[in-house]
Amino acid sequence: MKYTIVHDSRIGGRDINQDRAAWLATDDALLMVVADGMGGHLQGEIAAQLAVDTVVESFRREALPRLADPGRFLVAAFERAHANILNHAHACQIAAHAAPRTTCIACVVQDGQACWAHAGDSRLYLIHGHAPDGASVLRTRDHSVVQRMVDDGTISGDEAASHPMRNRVFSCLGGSVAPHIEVASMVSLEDGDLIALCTDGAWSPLGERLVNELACAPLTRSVPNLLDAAERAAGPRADNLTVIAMRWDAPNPDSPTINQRPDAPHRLQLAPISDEDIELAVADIRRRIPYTAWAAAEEGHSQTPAPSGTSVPEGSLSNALPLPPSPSRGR
Amino acid sequence: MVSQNNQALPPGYQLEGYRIERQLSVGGFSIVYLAQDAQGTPVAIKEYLPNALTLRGEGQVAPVIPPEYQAEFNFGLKCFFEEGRALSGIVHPNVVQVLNFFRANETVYLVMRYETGQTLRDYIRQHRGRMDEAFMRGMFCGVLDGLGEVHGHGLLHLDIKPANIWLRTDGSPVLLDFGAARYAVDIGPPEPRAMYTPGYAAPEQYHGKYTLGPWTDIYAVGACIYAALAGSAPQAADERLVDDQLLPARQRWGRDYSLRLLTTIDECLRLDPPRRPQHARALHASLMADPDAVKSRSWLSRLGF
Repeated sequence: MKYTIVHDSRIGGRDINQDRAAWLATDDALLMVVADGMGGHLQGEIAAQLAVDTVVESFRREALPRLADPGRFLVAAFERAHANILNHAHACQIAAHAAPRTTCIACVVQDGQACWAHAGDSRLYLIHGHAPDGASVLRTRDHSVVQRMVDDGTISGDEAASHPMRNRVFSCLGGSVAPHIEVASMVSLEDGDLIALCTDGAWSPLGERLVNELACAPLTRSVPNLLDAAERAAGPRADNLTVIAMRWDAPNPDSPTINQRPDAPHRLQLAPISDEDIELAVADIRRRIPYTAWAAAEEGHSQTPAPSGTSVPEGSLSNALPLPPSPSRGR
Repeated sequence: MVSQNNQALPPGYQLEGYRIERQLSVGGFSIVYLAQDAQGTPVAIKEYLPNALTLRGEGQVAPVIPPEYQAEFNFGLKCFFEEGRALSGIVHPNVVQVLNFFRANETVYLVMRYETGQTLRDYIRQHRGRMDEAFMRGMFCGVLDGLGEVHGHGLLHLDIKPANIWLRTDGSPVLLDFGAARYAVDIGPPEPRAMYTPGYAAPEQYHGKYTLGPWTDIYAVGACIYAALAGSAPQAADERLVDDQLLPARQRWGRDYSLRLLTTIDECLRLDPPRRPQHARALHASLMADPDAVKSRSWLSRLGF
């Protein structure tokens, strides 16, 4: 199997990243999985983590080195993930209505064919041919309230993008309702086909532009560009953004697999830091240093007062610890 | 004999508005100096100077960077910027405070507040095997307050160890050295991490089965408490994955410290990330939970049995 995979995840404008993603491969099979832990529920990131871990673990166990039936594998793995999240919630005594939930999209490539399954509104795109003219695109249908409204003709695709219910999904892993797991039938891949798995933070701000962004350059460039564009479009409150993109190359047993992480050092050799970049980075850091820090430094300091505006959590002994006595202890 | 080590800036050297006093420590990627600002306030200044990539000889100021190393030097520079960016937005009594960041001598400098005290590592060495439980609880709660703030900024520290916890003279802790810190995002297949310290690094820092998260720093905090009691680091996680020889804290010190503290340590040191306390706050609560902690300390042990 020869393919190129590039993946990246960004926190956007949020405090934590609840997206999780992974990919792994044997000689004969490739698995990619992305999960988007749902905000508004406790521990969304743990649900996403459990989903990804469960699917990856199932793949490790069953792809030896091939999966007997990728479609069945995906359904069973999703069901296992759902059960694991419920067990976790139960163990933590979290009530069902507040239980952690996550979307999940996973794809297996084997024998030159792709098969995928999803629950929720994380998407898979299969892009065949060249954008903007010749590309044909397959994508998963979101298990979301607005997608249903679009299908019913109640609202248009454009209206869906700004609809107040756009974040509501009717299927997910975890939670009190059994997930609706949708499996696509096997699709044969051709040379140059692209498969992208992404969370709504990445696809939602771009809409149809996503396909062009992704297909217009080598993945090592297009994936960071896509995330840049989505982050810019979403503004300061951008959701977490995650993409795994894979370009399929027609089988050639003589050439090695190319795997690249976008943040690997060797990529940076291609994009050296300019003098201006350094100046910008230094200026950015200086801007972040709070005024209180400068002021405190100028006052001189014998003690470290808790700076104003910083709350010290209750129970903190951080500024009032006695020096420890030295207890004697023998054995 | 040719020394390949970079020369530190000499005492008295005037670096922007700061006067270098002496070198405090030297690491693979940087030198930390004690300096004074214009008002005579002591500060710690960290200079980006990767030993393997640069050479600053006797009497030189600007390091020489061979062209073939320029890209790696720049990559490290980006990491140094990450550290600066990570730290500069955080104002918390238990996190080292960034005071300034500037460019000079063909490299960059991070200025931090300096406070008198010592590292937890040195403290442990002095008090080997004689740690007061109330002190430990209070001090580690301070560490967790700082860590919670770090996590709240979407950051992971990833190199918490006794050498990176500074104890002020009043006993309150400050988290140091965010050189390994990164945003709490990790995807992809197993990949060795660039920086970790055996004994304190969690299993997921060695292999990629689980992603990194707050639970990764929690493992390190558990390892620090364990080390404080034991006087040395616990068995490295990668070895534990093969053959777990780590004696649980409850077995090792069952009579000397409260069951609550020992159980908490063992929970933090679980190899399986989901089974550890998941947040700094959860661990904080666990450490503060038992007010009568010392009760369970057996009277036999006080008699030396």
